Amino acid sequence: MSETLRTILAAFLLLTAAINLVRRQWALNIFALGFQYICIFLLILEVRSPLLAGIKLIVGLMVSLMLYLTLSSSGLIESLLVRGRLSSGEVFRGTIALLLALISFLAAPALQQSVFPQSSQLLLTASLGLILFGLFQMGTINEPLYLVIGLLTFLSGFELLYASLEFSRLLEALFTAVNLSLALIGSYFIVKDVESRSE
Amino acid sequence: MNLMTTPAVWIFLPVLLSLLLVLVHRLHKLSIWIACVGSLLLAVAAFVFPQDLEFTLFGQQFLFDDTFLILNRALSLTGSQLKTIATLYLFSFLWNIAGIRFSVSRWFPTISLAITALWVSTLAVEPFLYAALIVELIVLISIILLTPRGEQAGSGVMRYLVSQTIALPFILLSGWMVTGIETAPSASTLILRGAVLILIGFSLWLAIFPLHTWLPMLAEKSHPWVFSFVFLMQQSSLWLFLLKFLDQFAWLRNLNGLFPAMQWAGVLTLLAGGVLASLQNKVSRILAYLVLIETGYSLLAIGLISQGGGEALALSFLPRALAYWQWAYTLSSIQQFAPEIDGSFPSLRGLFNRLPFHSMSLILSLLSLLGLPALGLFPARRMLWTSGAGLTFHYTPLLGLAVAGMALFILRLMHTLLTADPESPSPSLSAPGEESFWQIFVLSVFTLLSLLMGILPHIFLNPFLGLLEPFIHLLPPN
Repeated sequence: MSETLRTILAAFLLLTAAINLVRRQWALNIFALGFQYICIFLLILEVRSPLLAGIKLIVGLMVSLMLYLTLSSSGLIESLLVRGRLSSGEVFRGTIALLLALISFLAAPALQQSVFPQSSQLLLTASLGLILFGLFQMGTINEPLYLVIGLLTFLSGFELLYASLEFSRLLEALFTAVNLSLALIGSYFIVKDVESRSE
Repeated sequence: MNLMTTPAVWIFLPVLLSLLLVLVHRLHKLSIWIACVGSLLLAVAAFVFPQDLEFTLFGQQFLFDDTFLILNRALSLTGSQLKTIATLYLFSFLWNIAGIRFSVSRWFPTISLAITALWVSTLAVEPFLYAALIVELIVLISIILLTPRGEQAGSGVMRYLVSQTIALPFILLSGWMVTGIETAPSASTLILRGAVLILIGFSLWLAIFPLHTWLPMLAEKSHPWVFSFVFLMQQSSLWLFLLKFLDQFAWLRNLNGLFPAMQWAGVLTLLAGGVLASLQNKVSRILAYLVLIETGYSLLAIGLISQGGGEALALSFLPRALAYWQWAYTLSSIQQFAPEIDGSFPSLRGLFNRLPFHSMSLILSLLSLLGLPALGLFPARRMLWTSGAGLTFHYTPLLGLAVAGMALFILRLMHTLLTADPESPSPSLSAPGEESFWQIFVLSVFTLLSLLMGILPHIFLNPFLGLLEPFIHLLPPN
């Protein structure tokens, strides 16, 4: 895969994370999460065989599907085409998203030089961006779906970074188990939230 | 695949059992009894199993392997770790056997057994840094228990999840970063980075001050029975895991300033726990501060490892568990008797008149955790107070303040329990004689056990020194 294509992929990856950070539209968020995992799959091909990278894609899509089904069965999901006006909160989060993307872009070269020399700069930018987006999402919202998306984004960023450092089948299996469990817990939180609202 | 291995017995078998319990979880009593019997058998087996893993039964010789290979990695449980395993399954048994009384989640037996097996696997997995992901799995599973029934997940449980998840990269990255570090010079930047990553990871996992803010929020919303079990298992296993780090990484234990830093972190955590406990007006939140105080003491003990801190840590395992058990049992039982008691001080006024044994049990479990002479935790506390104060004068006033803070809370609680509100005597608090003989018996037995451990520590507590046997580099045998 050419460098240009990979750069576009990394940009798309950060864009999906930014959408999840900025917009509060559940259908769009789930769609962005699924697309995020597709970008991760394509980017991780740099350090993993297609078969192993495929596991991450399947797990990611399963996670997205699990959350989507939970939301749609709760009757809470709205159409992807519903458009609301940008709120001041969204503008603020958009600015933060830009800032976080800029930080990851600027910090990646120094980080590569001093700590992770074997990881490519592009991979580092993408993983650092995901980690920062995830952390910001986790730190600023208490709503179950967004918290889980934040956690999954944070973990995806770390998995992307760690994939360039070490490979172990056991570790891959454990990461898979953690991602699926996280999606289950996310669904559990959403169901409890819906139940308590309806009471 | 060789199934005659220790990991197959103490990890896979209980995991299989918990999967079986998933099928029968609707039959609550049956699943509790299966979990109880399973935990007890596994605890007893680990306790009596020979350290060389070889024994003869009915004329046939059995030799167990200590390693199970899985996905090119190993799970290894040596003979020296069997006492630890026995202790963890004993805790699982103690919480399951009494859990039948309380309205905790019907998943409690299933999940408690799975959590215990997973904690054992964190001590067994090689490379041991992979345990970070198993800890994350345990956190995710335990959330099902910690979320109250019929309510949405609160901020406490979410912060708990976030805090534990953030710890994961720190531990895993430290492992990668320090590969081959033994050959690096002692002042290497890598060593410092590795140590910082490990310490941040453990600080997040163990909610060391000031990263503890989610603990009281979680304690307030969760059932005390569940909270005490989850955090007892977490504390007990993570301290052993930290000892494993220190034992395996010579560069870490030889790092200048590491142990004094741990001592300070321990003393400050202890101080925060004591001071915050003294200001509390809700007993439901106090378990969080008790956990924080115990974290402080355990961290101080590891910081004082060369001054006998290791022994103090090992001696505190059982008394701490019994004190948590007694506190959580009593509180859960009170909530069962009188659902109108919400844990606030005003709702507990004059409770002694109605439930005298429960009231005394609350106070005694707190006194045991305080380290009162003749009670279970006194031998461990005495060692730490003496070693800490003997090392530097700075610790003495801080330790004193922490103890005074907790003592103040106990005095306030005693005053509340003994003093009835003269203006509005609650009719629900004026009917004595509700405690059954069986409840009085259980509470008395645990008080007696605490007394016996305090008076005869060489009989009841010395066997727990065996928990330190696997750490031969950190604590070389004499």
